[in-house]
Amino acid sequence: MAEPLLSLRHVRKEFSSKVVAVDDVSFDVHPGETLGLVGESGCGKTTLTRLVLRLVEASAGEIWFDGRELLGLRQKELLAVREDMQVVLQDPYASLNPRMRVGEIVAEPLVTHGRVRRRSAAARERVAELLDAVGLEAGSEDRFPHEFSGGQRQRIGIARALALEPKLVICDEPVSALDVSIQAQIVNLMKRLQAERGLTYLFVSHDLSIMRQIATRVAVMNLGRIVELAGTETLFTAPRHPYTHSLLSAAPVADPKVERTRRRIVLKGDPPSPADPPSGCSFHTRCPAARAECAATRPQLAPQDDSGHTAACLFPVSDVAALT
Amino acid sequence: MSLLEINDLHVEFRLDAGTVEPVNGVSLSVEAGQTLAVVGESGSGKTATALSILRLHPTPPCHYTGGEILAGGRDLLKLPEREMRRIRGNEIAMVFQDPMTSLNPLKTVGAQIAESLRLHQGMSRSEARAQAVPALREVGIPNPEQRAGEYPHQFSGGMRQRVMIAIALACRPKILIADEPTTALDVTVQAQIMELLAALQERFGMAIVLITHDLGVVARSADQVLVMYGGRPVELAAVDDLFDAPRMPYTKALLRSMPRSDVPGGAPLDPIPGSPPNLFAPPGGCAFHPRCSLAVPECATEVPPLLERAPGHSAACLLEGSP
Ligand SMILES: Nc1ncnc2c1ncn2[C@@H]1O[C@H](COP(=O)(O)OP(=O)(O)OP(=O)(O)O)[C@@H](O)[C@H]1O
Ligand SMILES: Nc1ncnc2c1ncn2[C@@H]1O[C@H](COP(=O)(O)OP(=O)(O)OP(=O)(O)O)[C@@H](O)[C@H]1O
Ligand code: SF4
Ligand code: SF4
Ligand SMILES: [Mg+2]
Ligand SMILES: [Mg+2]
Repeated sequence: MAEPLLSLRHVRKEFSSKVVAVDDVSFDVHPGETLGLVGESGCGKTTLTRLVLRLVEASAGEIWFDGRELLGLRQKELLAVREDMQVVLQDPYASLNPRMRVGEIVAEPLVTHGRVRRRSAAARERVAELLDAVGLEAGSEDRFPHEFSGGQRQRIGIARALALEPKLVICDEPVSALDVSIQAQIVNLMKRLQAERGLTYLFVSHDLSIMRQIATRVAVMNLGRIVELAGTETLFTAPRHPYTHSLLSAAPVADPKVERTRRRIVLKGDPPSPADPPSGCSFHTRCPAARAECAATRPQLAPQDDSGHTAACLFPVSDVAALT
Repeated sequence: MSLLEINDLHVEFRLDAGTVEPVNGVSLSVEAGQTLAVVGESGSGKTATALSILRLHPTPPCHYTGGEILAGGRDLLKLPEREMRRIRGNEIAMVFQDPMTSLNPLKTVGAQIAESLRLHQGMSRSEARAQAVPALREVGIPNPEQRAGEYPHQFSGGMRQRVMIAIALACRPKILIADEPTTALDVTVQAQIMELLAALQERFGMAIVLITHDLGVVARSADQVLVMYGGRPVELAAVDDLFDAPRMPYTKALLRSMPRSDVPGGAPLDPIPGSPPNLFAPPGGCAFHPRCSLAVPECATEVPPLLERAPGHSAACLLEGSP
């Protein structure tokens, strides 16, 4: 297999001695794939993306991107690396400067990195090509962000992210703020651009249905740790970690017959506070399969088969019936 | 028998920027022990409909321009404000998406439940206090004796929503209106709250109007479904009929476009082109016509009426013909 494009090794981020937002996270992202990162609010997804972008400094660990270790780089070296790593955020409203025309917004990274001169013919040509690639009509470059709908604004954000022809695009909840009927448009667009341009995505979402449609592999996070990682179909059809089972079972499916007949795990109690994480397995306070050992021993990610499926659980479960 | 029946309700907001009609001919009814889901995309008029039931919109800019809201044998639109106040929180209660904006941060949770009981049921201070703890226990809050003395910020999002449900149900309303009650919550917590609402409904038999944009939530909890588009009701059916045999092209397209967690990925999704209508400049005729793959020329000029096309199943589409 080709070298991974992005590798995290034992990455940790403490915001204070108590809040460990990212705890001993290791994974690889291979060229051309979409690695999905799923988990509930506060589990550390955004922090993880900001660590990779070096918008927050890691407390420990290594982050390798395209053959270089990022955490040791100086700001100037980092700027060059960042050309190959772009980001698409959740809120298209907040991430676009309201006073700039769309053409300037999309050209901005090209100008900053000295690829084209502002308002040059080359800039105009490149912007037109990018807007066309994301499905915005000609003439959009002269308009302002507020003249566009949410879905169109997300297209503008994607065009801007692609301007420098990055290798990696980090997407943090890129469709979560959009209407259902628009989400599918953006997911299709992102898949098409990936196929056409050989892009690699690190794709954060709390939405399992979006994940199943876009990810090649999925990592499930809980309280700062990756608890399960597998190929998408394996993760959805043969999960091993009780937390993954719980997430899948909790997510409502748009089919009343399925909903009436499926076995559902309803967790007891509240999600623990990140400032006061449980001892041992961080899921033990809510886990329907927990035994006494779980409160004492912290499980490490361990292979579940030879396909690269790993899970961090002392007593992995194949059959959801064992949890209901 | 319907506990709540709305007939041809019209609500307008007269604003400086123009007039919008977020509720344009909505009719629905809910029976005891049943859940009616109102589903639609952002701006389709779901919240505007919910708030109208309790007449919670400020007037002006809001004007109730037509229709009736029947509950307990009277038309709520005709009642004096004084009587409406007696109905709110008593006979008809509401739960909102964001519990933090509806809870008072400076008062203990127990005091807020007690206050609601005193206001609506005329209980004495000590009676109301005594009721707060069982009300919290009923919604599954552990240690209710201790937690009644705590403030909202000491509760997690899911627990705050439980508090809101405790307040809403303390007076045993006949009708509960829940506007996106689980949208702000994580999925495992959402599942807990939906389970709680179902259990309480079973126990007390209230009718629930559940506002949501999530068809998964509809499939899990609803008996009947009203689909809204651009302020208009476009389809009304029993939940199985809606998912098995949708009749209105928007509903069909919406169901097809949904990414699903129980279906393998790989194939491209089937999106609806374009975007939802802007209510300040709504398209003429059927509001869905600019996005509808089946549209015929009349769709741009004629508003399709919501008519019963099969027993208990209404749809608003010109292709369904007119009577
Ligand atoms: N700058 C910061 N200072 C202190 N704590 C922080 C900071 N940023 C994040 N945290 C904490 O780190 C934890 C992880 O937060 P993060 O935003 O990464 O979660 P997330 O998985 O992206 O959640 P969401 O789904 O809500 O976006 C949380 O407990 C959060 O409160
Ligand atoms: N107080 C108000 N003043 C002016 N316009 C309003 C007001 N409330 C709602 N609207 C408009 O009415 C329309 C319907 O809004 P409503 O809040 O009912 O939508 P919704 O279906 O609940 O959407 P969401 O899913 O985003 O909550 C929108 O176009 C909105 O801009
Ligand atoms: S280690 Fe124990 S508590 Fe943790 S997920 Fe596995 S069974 Fe549950
Ligand atoms: S009335 Fe016309 S535009 Fe509207 S849903 Fe029916 S076919 Fe489509
Ligand atoms: Mg986040
Ligand atoms: Mg709303």
